[in-house]
Amino acid sequence: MAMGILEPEVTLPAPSPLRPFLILGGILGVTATLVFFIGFRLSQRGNWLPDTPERLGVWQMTEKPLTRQALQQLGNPDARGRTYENPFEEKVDVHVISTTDYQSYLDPQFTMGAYEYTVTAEKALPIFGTNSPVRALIFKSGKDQRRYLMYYWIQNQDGSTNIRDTLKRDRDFAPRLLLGLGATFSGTQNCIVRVFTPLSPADINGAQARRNLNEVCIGLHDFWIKGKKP
Amino acid sequence: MITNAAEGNQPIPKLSDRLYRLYRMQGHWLLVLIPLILILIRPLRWSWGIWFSYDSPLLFQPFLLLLAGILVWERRYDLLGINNEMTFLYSANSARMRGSLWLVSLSCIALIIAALAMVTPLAMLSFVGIVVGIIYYLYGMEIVKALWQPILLLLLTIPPPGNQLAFLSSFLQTITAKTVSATLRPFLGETHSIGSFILLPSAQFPIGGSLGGVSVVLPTLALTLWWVFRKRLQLPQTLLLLFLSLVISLFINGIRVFAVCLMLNRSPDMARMLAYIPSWALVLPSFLAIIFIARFLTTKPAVAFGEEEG
Repeated sequence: MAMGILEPEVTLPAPSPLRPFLILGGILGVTATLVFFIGFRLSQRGNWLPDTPERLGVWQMTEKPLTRQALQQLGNPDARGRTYENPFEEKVDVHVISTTDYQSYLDPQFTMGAYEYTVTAEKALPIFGTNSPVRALIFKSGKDQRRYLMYYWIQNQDGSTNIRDTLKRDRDFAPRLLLGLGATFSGTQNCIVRVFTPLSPADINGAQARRNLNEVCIGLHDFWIKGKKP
Repeated sequence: MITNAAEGNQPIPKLSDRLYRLYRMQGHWLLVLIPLILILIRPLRWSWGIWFSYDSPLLFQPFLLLLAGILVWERRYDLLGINNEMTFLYSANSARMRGSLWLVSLSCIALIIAALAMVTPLAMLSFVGIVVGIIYYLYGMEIVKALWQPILLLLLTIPPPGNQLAFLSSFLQTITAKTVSATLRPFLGETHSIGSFILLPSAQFPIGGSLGGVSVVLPTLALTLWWVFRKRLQLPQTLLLLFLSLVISLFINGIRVFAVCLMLNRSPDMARMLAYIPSWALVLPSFLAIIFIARFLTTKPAVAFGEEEG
């Protein structure tokens, strides 16, 4: 700038009256897009509900739908209820539950508590390989002292399993948020699988029950992942 | 041709022309309103099941959006007056004339978190936060303060946690069972109540679901609040009317339960029909009774903004 020369007075243009509306429109538009995207990913996640085969080796399937109360407890998801029976008339029940609602992820310990069942033992078992565990739970009835062995896991469509994503209570905020983040970013479709059988009083260590559950679970897992009929 | 006599027989413009003129003058609002409506869709979808389940005690909540809108519309000239006064006193860039974006931004983040965790109350709270944040950003704190009553009504659209509602419902069921069983004694002989059960001489009657009155009490209270806001009543009158609306709605629901118990043996079909009357049918007489009582209480309305003496 040359000294002594007066600069012409600069008048700033008045801010456009549209500017605040454009800013608000931008923020709200981005939010609306994100909310729709999240909703789309969440609804996509629960669309996978694999069928179960008629036969799994010696096990023959019959349909046994979940009760209305059980479905209501899980937020009325789509679900398949099956019973597999072997020639020795031993039965294994299978529930395959879609994950359209977070309520489907309610921990079996919580849901079975409503029927006066308590968990007396729990262990993670890597029955599909080291990276694909299932939760093994022993339930004891408060009414007649009968015991059940249950395998519980979340089956991803890519073959992996997950036993972390459960809700201890319906209002558990942090697990719900993690479920949402997982579904939005990974986009993996999944379903919940519960396989259970009564523990006979003679089967003290549960060896027979475990063998039966292992056969059915591995058969189902292979059928869903490899499309292989055992 | 239709003409307007008051304005020297000027032809009244067609609706399409008026709409076009409105669009030309206020079309920029679409930038805000369209995404706002899109944002509201998901919280509304989640709340739908809560609001419109059979005899839901929260059925009144979606209507509060409309009632809050009516309240704002009725006060539009007051708001315009405040805005004009502010424009006269402060420059357009003054912090008093326009707020910052923190509330809108924070509410948008909360809404995204609510969408991820699928938490309906947080989603509705975020929506209210966004609406208040928009008003704050565009018009400043004075207008937000002037709108506290419609904002309070909007906050009442947030579904409360299910366990609190269940607690209230169970509490009202027990109170109703106790009161009605005592009232029935002169008519039916020995009657008792255990918890929410009324033990009649020849039968048991459970006060289940909405029979406890929660579906009558909550909508009546909300409507009464809207009414006192509309009438600009002062705090003592407001509290008195809210208390009366609680008593009257419980009384009207109690009459229903009383009639059901009386008819249980004589006319079971009639008793069943009475028990299944939708609760909104009882909200209406409760609210009308409140309006009737309010006429005696409100001889002199509170002074509105801009109407002060002197």
